Amino acid sequence: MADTIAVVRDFLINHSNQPIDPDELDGSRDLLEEGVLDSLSLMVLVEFLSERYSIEFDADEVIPRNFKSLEAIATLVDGKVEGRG
Amino acid sequence: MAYLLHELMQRSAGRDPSHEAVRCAGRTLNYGELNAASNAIAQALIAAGVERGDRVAVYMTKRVEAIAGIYGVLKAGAAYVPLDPKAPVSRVALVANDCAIAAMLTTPDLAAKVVPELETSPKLLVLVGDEEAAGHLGCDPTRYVDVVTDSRATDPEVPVLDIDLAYILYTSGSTGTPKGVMLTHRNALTFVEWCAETIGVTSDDRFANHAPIHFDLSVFDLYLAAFGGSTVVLIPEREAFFGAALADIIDQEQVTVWYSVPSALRLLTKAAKPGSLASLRTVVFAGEVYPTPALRQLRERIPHAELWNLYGPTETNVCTNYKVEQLPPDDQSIPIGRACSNTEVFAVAADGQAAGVGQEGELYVRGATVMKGYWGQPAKSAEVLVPDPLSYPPDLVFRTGDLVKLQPDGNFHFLGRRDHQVKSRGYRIELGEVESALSTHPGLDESVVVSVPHDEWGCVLVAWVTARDGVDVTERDVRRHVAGRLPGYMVPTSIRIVGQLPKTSTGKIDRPLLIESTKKLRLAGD
Repeated sequence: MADTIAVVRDFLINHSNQPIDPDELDGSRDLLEEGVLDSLSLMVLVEFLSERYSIEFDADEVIPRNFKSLEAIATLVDGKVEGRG
Repeated sequence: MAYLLHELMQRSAGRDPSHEAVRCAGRTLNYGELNAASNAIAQALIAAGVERGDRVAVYMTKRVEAIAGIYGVLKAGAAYVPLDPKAPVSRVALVANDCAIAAMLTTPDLAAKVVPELETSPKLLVLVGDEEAAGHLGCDPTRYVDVVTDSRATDPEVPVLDIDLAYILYTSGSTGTPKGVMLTHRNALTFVEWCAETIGVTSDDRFANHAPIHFDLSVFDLYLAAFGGSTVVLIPEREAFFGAALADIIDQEQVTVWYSVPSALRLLTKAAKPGSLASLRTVVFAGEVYPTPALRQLRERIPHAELWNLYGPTETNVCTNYKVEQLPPDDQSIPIGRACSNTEVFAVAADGQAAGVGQEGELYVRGATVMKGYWGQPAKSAEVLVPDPLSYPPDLVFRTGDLVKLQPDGNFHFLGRRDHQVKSRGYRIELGEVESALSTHPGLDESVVVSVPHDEWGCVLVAWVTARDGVDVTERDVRRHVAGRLPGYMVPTSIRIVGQLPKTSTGKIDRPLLIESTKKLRLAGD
């Protein structure tokens, strides 16, 4: 979980369209309310995670609840990685 | 016929006050409540000294109070200026100061950021939510709940004319400063009445408002719903780019009319399950080209719904329309169609003569939907609002900058731009504005932004930059710099720091070569 959070966090700091202060981007911060994720960065993130973890996302998994925070994203990704193994 | 936008809502409130007017995230205002709240807001604005013609900012994420606020501003005879709650505060303040806003309706968190940046203190600051969170603002905020509890507030009946400004929408400017497009009640009503006649509306309709309020697509959702006494369902920003969430909203809210940019519809088409989207009777799209293969998928998903392609820069509301019947078998893009009511469109060829059938020309628009001009920028306005080059003076026509071709069947076909304006997810972006933001980075020497076509999003932006001698810059650093100055949709997807930029033999940056290099990039995961 902590590893996945770190990977996603790093990716967002490098790809978000918002000026993120890395110190403020903790696991529970709301990524949607402040626009850290938007339509384009979500697409780029999903593409990145799919490749990095060799997983595929169903459309009904790409929903606000699963992408609202680093923790939520990591829970989704870790769950899918375990399910795959 | 109504001559003012708020009369549409008022008329519907008179007919059926208990009918749901606005819904957002489980909260609802019926027409009676919406009318009463907007009267109270209008009275509060007037009492604070807001006058006819003043500008009032509405700065918040979507919620029912934003709509009450908009009608309150209109009833006070002022023009509303919707500000992007996601944009960097420096840009929001630039816009608010540019049009010298007299008052502001916002939330405590946003007020705390922007109010200190305002050049003049607003005459009235209405806060939706807990005002404690706003801290010391240097002016006394008024709580929204206190304003609207005055249920005795009546319509102020400020004398307003249809040629008065109803709203100002800011759009990207090529020199780095956003331009405020001034639209009157008549401009918007002409469009709304055309929609009511052509697309039709009843009180049983349920509209989705997908577009942000600061984007001109919202004019259709808000005011066509008000015209019909129908319900408009505001889609919260945080759900707007999740296809599965959009499909759920349509099904749960039984949305009948949907209007958005094609990229949102493509998300929806991919995510919607069989049996979903059955409530839709009409789907309207605008803002960018809908690739025909993707449009075919949408049609297969909702064969029962009418499809309309609308076209028009913000400066003209909407000026042409095309009802999609047959899709081109060769996957050519569909046309933008022909002029809406009270609008004339024509193409002028490079030689200044009328472009005939099959000939490329720039599209010009004349009529009741064309804007008054750009706020405070008479020179810029005069560049685009020009005497009719083909016909009689003195009426002015709007030069769109869009290149089109008239087909033998009378429909116009969109070909592209004659300048460096691009569209991403329906948003207009002047590449010059992005380059201007990059140029303010102290470590950068040269920068150029190119756009390349993207299957899903219309286009993506890539910045190619060089660092000043001896200065160490990182992509992360440049990205933060730009993201701190521009709205998210203008921030390049990728920023490439290179040793030098390719030049042509005349020493100019070789854009075509950079575009080719950009097309070869992988844009994710690196």
